[in-house]
Amino acid sequence: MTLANKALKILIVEDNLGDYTLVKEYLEERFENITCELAINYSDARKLLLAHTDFDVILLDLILPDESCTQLIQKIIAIAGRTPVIIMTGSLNLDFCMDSLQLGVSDYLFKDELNTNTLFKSISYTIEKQKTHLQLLESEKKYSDLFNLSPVAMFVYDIDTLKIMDVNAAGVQLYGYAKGELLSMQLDQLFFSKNTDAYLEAFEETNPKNKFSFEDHLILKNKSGKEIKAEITVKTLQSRNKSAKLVVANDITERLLHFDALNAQNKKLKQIAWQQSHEMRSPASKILGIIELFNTELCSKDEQKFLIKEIEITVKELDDVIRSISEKAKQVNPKT
Amino acid sequence: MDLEVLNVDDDKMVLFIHEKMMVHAGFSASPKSFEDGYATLNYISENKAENKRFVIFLDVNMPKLDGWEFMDELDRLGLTSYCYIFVVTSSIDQTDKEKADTYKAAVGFVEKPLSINKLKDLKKTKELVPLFGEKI
Repeated sequence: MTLANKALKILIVEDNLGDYTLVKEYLEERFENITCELAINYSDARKLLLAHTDFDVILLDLILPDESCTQLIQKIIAIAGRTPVIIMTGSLNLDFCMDSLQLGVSDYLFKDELNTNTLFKSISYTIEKQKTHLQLLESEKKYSDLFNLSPVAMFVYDIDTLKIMDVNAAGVQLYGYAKGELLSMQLDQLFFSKNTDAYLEAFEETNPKNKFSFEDHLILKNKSGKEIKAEITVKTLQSRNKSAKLVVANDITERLLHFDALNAQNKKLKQIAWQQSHEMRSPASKILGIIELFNTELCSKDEQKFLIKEIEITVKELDDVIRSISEKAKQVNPKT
Repeated sequence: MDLEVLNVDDDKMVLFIHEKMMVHAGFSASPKSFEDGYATLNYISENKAENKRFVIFLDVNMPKLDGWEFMDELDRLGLTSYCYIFVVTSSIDQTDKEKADTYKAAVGFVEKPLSINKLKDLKKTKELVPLFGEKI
């Protein structure tokens, strides 16, 4: 489907009904499926724009009974949303037309030069340009979302001044500063003073590299002075005239705490294993030895009595070890 | 060649069991018992002779001087060549056995409890065959 037979809806803001009829006819000549709506002054246009957002283009006469020129352009653009605005002017004031482009107007047309072709060219060009513009906005938003909505803390700093240039929501949360505060800070203010020199040097060393991950975690400082143990990855950002680095800080404080807990647990388990192979085995082997003596009938009656007493003592010893192991096993279970 | 058997263990009961078994198994008619390593070292250095070897049943886990330290000390005092040592442990931990292999004086590794059959087998230990051979 080409633009010529696509359904288009155009708002024409024009107080001169003759001009309106002319423009409408020109348009209908080239656009087969066009709907034109008329607003004869600014307040009419405003009502229509607030009620409908589906106009493809607004054609705007610059002089209306209730508003005109710069003010009119600004007001219309403010409520036009994504709909592009093309101005139509009777005078040949080129400077003003150029300035109006700065205000966000997509194109300008001189009423004296209006014909089917100029209108068709201007409108089709404007619609295509708007499409591209919206795609660009969309993709910019996508990338900015990747940064802003990422659950991992990220910030960007200027390599030369070390100034923090941007920080995402997760970063704001991690460091505990307001975004404004962070944007007035420097990289080194996120370090503990005892680490500053070493860390700055380490960051400096990443400058020639495109992407770099520190092997060990770095300890950052949040606003309340708490330690944040973070895995840091640094990536160079190429912008026109500034060299900046994107820093991704993955908070592993919790993970390290879990690690410590696991290590402590492991240590206790090792103790239990040692107790089982040493302390528990010792009385067991002694009892087995005594039983062997009984079996070989090597002992006198008195010695046998003594050995039975000894078995009792040894079993108690074994019992103690078992109790101590089960006590330790209780400690291994994570506290609830 | 003379042969003297020494039992070293901090547990008196273990010493009693070992003595009984050794006598019964014909391993030694009069084994000597020691409750700690230092006393054993003294005994060896005072009673050593060129025509005499000590066969020592050495417990690994002892409070003052453990089995490993005992063998280090033995080496330092130049007494290793008079001794054949069986490392005795109640542990079923494989690392003790591997560690015993690294000591020159250690000729065997014995897991507790000792038994009469085990003692009979130990007599066939390569290093001990000449000692028992003379007697038999």
